[in-house]
Amino acid sequence: MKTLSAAAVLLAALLLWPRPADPLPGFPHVFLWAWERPENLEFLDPHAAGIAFLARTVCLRGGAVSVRPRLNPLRYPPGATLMAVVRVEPRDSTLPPVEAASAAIAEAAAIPGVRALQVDFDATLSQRPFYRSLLTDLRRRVPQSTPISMTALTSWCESDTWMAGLPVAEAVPMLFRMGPGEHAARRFRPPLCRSSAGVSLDEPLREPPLAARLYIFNPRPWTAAAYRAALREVRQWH
Amino acid sequence: MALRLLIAVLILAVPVELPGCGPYLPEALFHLTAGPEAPAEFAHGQLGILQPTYERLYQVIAYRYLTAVGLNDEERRAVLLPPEDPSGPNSNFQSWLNVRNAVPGVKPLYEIDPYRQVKKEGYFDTYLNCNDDAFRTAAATLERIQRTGAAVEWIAAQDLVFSNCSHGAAIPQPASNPRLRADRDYQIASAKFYSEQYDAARRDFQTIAANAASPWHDIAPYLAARCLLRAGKLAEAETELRSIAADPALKRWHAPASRLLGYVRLRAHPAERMHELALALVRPGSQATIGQDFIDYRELFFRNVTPQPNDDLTDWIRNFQAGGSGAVENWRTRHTLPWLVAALEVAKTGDAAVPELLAAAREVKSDSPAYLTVNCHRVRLLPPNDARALADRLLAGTMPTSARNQFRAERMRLARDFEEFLRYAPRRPVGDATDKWRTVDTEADLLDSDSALILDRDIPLSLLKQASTSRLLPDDVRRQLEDVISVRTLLLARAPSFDGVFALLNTPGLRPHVDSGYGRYTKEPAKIDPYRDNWWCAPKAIDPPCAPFLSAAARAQAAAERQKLQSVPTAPDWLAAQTLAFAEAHPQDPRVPEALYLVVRATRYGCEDNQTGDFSHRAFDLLHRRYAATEWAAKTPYWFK
Repeated sequence: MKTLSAAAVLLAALLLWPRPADPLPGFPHVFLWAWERPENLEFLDPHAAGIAFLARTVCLRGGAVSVRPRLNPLRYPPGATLMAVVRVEPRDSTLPPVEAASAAIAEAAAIPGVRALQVDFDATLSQRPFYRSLLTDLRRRVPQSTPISMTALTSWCESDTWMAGLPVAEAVPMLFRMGPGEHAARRFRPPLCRSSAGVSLDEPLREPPLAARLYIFNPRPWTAAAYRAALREVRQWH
Repeated sequence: MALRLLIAVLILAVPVELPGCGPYLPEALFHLTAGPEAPAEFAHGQLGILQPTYERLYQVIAYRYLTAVGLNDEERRAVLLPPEDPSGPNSNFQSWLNVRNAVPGVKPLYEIDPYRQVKKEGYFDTYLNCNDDAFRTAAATLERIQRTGAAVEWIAAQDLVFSNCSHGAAIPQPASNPRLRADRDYQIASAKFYSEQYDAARRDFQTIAANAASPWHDIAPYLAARCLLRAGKLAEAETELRSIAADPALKRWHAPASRLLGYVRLRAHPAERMHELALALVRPGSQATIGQDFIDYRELFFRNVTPQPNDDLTDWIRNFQAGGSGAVENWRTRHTLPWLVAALEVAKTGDAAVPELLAAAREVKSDSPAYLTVNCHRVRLLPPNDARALADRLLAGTMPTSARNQFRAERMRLARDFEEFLRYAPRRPVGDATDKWRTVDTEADLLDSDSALILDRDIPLSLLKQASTSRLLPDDVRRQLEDVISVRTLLLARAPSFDGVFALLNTPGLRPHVDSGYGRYTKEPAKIDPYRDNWWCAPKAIDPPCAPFLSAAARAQAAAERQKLQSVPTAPDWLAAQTLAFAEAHPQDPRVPEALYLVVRATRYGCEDNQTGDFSHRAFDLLHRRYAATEWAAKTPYWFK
């Protein structure tokens, strides 16, 4: 009887324990990253996975902004959830006005069928105020119905606090291509980093991440077999 | 003052810029695998030691030199042109905007988006709709139109034309001004072209072609063919482009039509096009086409296309890069220099073909672009005495640094005594690799992995001491060897002295092994390396020794030392075990609390195994139990799993 009561208390606690709300409600829990190469994802089940595709690269050089759009075809099935990824690349130390950069990023949200925006960047210490202002301005430009996601180095989610208060729905720690001696944590402390994680097909993890949403990178073009294998693996984790 | 000093130190201590990604620690490269360290010299025929791993551009260049075709100045410029940075500012549309905005009465325009998105269900793509030529042509036309006094009107229509580059279908109205009529007809056709109305645009260009009075009538057939291409009608486009390229009346458009024809054939007939390209790439005087031809050829390589019919260049590149045994057969049937190089690349000592290959290699003259390559293989394949003599003769001459490094590696392999080994052990880096690679120009010699491995694995302590005083090694290497000797001496001792252990605890840069390349990232031995490259890790299984120049006694001594060193655990465990034992035996020694603190630090920053956490816990407990009042206990709030 005692055991039963304890189990009931535990169950109730689990059910009632406040869980972080999904920052991307209604979005699939798996996204395939489709990088700058021809990608045919027509095999994808739109209920099982979405597509976060590199839509454009915004280059910052000499205080000016130039845009390189995706120049490789992406094929996807009807009903697929699309997230436009915008890669930001500063080419020198002279950064442009924040508004010019954020306007170039925001245009990707207007691509037909795109439901969310993901900003991918590497911020040095000195660039962090710029990116903070950029994301704040971007949030103002993009309709509230379009969530903004960002990628993050694991160090930003571990021992860094610079992302606190950024106006984004989630920060996706990239649990791959890390430095020597680093290994991926299963869960991160900052709330922004808790809901999602980025993994790569070519880097097996020691322990699966506990994040509810996974972004999967493939260093080669996606195939139906790679997609099915990735989904199988993810299902084992959750 | 002290506070100011502290603030200044803190400001200086925080890096202003940190790389956003990584970390990627620099690795010294002694020869490059993707391409030569000096591409410009390579393109002048100084091939050094040709590597099968070089990118295909360098294989094509090498083939041209190996077949005595070479490159002229213009061809060299065309093949070595740095790839255009697509993210860079578009100077052509900027030039157009500059001349446009300079016209009085025109409202300035600052931006044109030349890319257009494909609108199709289940498909996303963007393409360069208005290319550089369009903006160049517009700028040149404006100069002519300005002389007619109708520039503002013409610009208004041209703005509509270019608005279609990124979206929409804005078509200018026919001109009422008779001076602009022919130009307006061309603008209308162009607007239709850029707004993807290819059939309509084609009809308009054909009409313009038939109008001999139009300044656009001779380009119009070419543009009509481009409409077919944009519409995906490759077969029709090919026919039409062929007829333009053969029409003497359209001579000015022969070259552009031929280029487009190449584009069409690459897609419509890839195998045949690959064959055409392979022939074109080895043709002398190909400066007008070699740049684009190489891009197309490489693209077909990526797609794994097999040329139809086969050709020698493609066959050679595939064989040379894959290391296939077919190279020897091809050498026997063709007897050409490229195939000799390919056959030597796969030849191994004892192969039946080696004598005939060596005989052919011996005939290669010193002014041949293949001279260093074939002789590197000769050194590899000849009997040791002949190989040594040849290597010494070649090393006395000049050669690219990467080639010298490779000859030195071969010569080191042939060393007859320890001194010869030391003489050829140092090499000079030609590049370094992080997340990408770059060439470096340095005077400092280092150890490559082969020489570091022999010093580390095969050389006994007594000879290491000799090496550490030898002027044949660079100063930095000798200093490193002194450190290695001190650590090995401690590890090999029956009862390691606590003085040595304590010094080691304070010096995380000390280790018993010899590093190759740049070695540890943090150069100060007393500093903790932030990437956890501190002390040493548990030894891994190693290959059998390979230092035939050593005496039997030296080999036996090295084997005994190696056996003992192989049993030493990872540094934090070893340091902890030594310290805990000393602490038990000498609890009053004043160094013990600090040593326990240092042990816990080592378990945090050193290489760990499944016992490290236990050692960390034991050192922590002892420190806090027995020396709780010391500053070292206060500095040790945690132990580390």
